[in-house]
Amino acid sequence: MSVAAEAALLAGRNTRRFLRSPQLLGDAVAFPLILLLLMLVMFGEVVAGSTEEPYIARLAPGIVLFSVAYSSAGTAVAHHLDLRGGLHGRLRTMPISPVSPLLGRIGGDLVKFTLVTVVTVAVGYLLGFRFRQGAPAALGFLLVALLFAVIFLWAALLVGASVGSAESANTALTTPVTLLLLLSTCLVPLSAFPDWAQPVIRLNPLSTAHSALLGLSWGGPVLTPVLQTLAWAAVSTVVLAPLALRRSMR
Amino acid sequence: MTAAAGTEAGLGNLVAQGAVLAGRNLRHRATVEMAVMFVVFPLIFVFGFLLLFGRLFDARGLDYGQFLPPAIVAQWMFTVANTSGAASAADRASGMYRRCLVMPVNRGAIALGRIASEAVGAFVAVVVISLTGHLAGFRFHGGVLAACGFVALAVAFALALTAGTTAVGLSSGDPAAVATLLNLPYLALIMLSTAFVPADAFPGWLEPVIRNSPVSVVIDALRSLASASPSWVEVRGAVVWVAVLAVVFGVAASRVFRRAR
Amino acid sequence: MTQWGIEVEHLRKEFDGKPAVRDVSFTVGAGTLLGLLGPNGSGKTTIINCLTTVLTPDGGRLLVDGCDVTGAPEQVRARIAVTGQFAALDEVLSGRDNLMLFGRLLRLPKRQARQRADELLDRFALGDAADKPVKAYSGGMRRRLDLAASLVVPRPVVFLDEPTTGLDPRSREELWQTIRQLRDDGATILLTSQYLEEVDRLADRVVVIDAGRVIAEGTGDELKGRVGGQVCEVTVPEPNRAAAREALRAFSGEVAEHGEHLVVPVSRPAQLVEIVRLLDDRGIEIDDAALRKPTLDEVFFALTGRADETADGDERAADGDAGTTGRDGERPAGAVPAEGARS
Ligand SMILES: Nc1ncnc2c1ncn2[C@@H]1O[C@H](COP(=O)(O)OP(=O)(O)OP(=O)(O)O)[C@@H](O)[C@H]1O
Ligand SMILES: [Mg+2]
Repeated sequence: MSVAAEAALLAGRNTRRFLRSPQLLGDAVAFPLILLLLMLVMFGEVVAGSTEEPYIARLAPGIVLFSVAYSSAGTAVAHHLDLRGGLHGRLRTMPISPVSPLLGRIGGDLVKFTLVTVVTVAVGYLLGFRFRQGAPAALGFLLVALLFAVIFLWAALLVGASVGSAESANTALTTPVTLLLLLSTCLVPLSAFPDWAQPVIRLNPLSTAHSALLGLSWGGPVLTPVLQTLAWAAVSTVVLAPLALRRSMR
Repeated sequence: MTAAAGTEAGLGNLVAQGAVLAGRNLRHRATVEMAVMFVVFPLIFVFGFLLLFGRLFDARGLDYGQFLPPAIVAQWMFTVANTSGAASAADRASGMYRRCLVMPVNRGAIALGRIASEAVGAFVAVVVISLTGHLAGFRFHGGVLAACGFVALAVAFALALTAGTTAVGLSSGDPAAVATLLNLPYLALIMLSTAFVPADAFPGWLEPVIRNSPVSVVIDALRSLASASPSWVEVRGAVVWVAVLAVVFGVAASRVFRRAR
Repeated sequence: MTQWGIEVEHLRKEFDGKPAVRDVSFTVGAGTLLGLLGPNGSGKTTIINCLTTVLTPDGGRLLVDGCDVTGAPEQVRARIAVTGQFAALDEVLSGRDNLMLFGRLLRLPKRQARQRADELLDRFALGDAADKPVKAYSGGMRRRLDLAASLVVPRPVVFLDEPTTGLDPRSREELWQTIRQLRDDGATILLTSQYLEEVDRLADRVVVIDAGRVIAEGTGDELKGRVGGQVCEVTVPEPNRAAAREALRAFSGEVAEHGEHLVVPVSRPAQLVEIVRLLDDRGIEIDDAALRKPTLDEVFFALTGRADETADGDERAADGDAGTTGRDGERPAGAVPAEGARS
């Protein structure tokens, strides 16, 4: 079997597991929706005055990105449990490429993220979110979200393979991801941050991906933020992926 | 060799066994992860939110550095309570709770041990956040007495919440499920309050709900206690709310306590 | 000092209307060890939980070391040591810290608690793992630490709920030694088990329960006498099995069938030869015939006249009293009858 076929098979297993667990499904879908509603009523009025677009246009893509980044914690936990539970050990005794299980995990998660993105955007639509740049841009929106997911997936696999317990896999990711959300343009525009902080905020992967998504839905620059996000994904893949692989193979 | 020891009755046992259990509960918390959290959590939330909203609220004439820390205190009081609920569930799952029940351990000592250890945890948290807040410009303008009231109100709030999370934890016995279950009301209650955003910044139809949520009442009382002129009316409202929560949750907890095995 | 370490009279306990223990009575003489034998779901743990004040009985009178369990639970708790079916330990703390914690809870001064912890760690061969957190312990180590934890302060009455389940043969033998030692030191012990061999090795008397009722009581030898001490297992291929069964019935009324094996109680080893000869005389071909010790299943079979369902207490607990009457009727002559009320 080719690596692609093996990975697809394992991705299928991960996806089915996810779709069959009402709790996992509920968490993945309900969490972004609750956040979307809560933050809209919390911050809508405060932020509205300082931007030209309605707050939902900023918030919906922000929540998509945050959900994707946040659920990397779930990926880390699942990966950790796979390694602990011996699934990987068994797969390694079979004639299967060592990369396949990891690619399978990533593939399964990308399906999950697609679902999260579609549901969040759908509810965002009810609240006033619109794709103003046409259908190809909407497809680009999804692709950028998935490209962004790759950055955190490698980190999640590395964390899952490195930590001692499922619980620390969880906290090791949720805390930094929450901080990244606060220090990004997902919730407020760049101009709301102190001047000295702005260069850092601008480079946050959540900010670069957010600018791209904003450009692809409401309108605005697209090429630069997409390239920046691509750079983040490339850096993550080059630096973290080999480490994650090596740790998982031990 | 086989002489029976004394029974569990008496104040001496209550205090001594309560202290032993409190010490044990605290040892569970004395981990590297907890220490990291004690440093990282206040930094993230105090400075993160300050960077995020400082400018926007300055433009509205609100000193966010003074406004925010009481909210982070309340937020952490929820964390203390939720962690405690999960710990109670873990004690049931590991059989620790049951062993205490068959030993001559004063029934009150089990509750006292929890209360004491969570009070210590909450107290340390309030101090840490107040210090972090100090770096962000937060000050106790109302004098020493008001500052003590601030600490006392926050700790009392944490303990009232802990009674509720203990009821949930003891009746479930699954720490992971309890942690997930408690997370949702926590998020909703803290976000739908005046914690991060003042009531008038919410949509008009939601304002009365926000203003009267117990979480808002407590946070506003904390802010008042840190201000130059603490308002007795606001503090009284918060004390009443905390007392009500303590009674309701306390009754629930003691019911579960009597039945959980 | 009373004559009885434990007295149970007409104990009843149900869960949501489903009876788990129905009218159980027995006594344990002070300083003796009683084995409570029963299959899964028969009510062993429920009986222990009632006696150790964890559960409130729905009816009956329970005395532990002369103290009424419902009337004076705190007196009872001051007199008992309990090792539950599942380890009850602090997973985060080390073995030593666990023992010290329980010592301190029992109001030992710190130094004494530490000294006692070291003694017990030594005695239970946990010295090497003393400072490792319990979550890193193996199942057997955990079990030993759990027993040690209940012995921090010696108590006159000890409850052990399936203490050797999950232990390897050597640890089991060591634990048996410890339990004997406890008894020799004068403790009254109630031990539950699913293994006839275990109670046979340890107990002064045995109470057998099934579906929440006492179905037999006596010494280990008396009980084994009920099944003849040994059984002969004959392996018969089809199509001879029915004929073999018929032939064996002449030998003993209690022929059990497990797959291709037929099992008959025997009282003398020589009967193996008689059985083989009997089958040979009738021209019934067999694959194998051997003597072995009876399993708990077979004891139950002999005591209740039913086979194989013994592992399924829940269902019988629900089938009401009608079944029980039949069961009593079927009890063969010579059974050791369960003693009912005792005053
Ligand atoms: N807390 C409970 N709630 C409901 N039913 C229970 C409870 N505890 C026990 N039971 C039921 O009571 C019956 C007796 O259970 P018990 O645990 O006493 O059996 P046991 O003899 O200890 O079995 P095992 O050998 O499996 O430990 C079973 O049918 C069980 O399902
Ligand atoms: Mg049991």
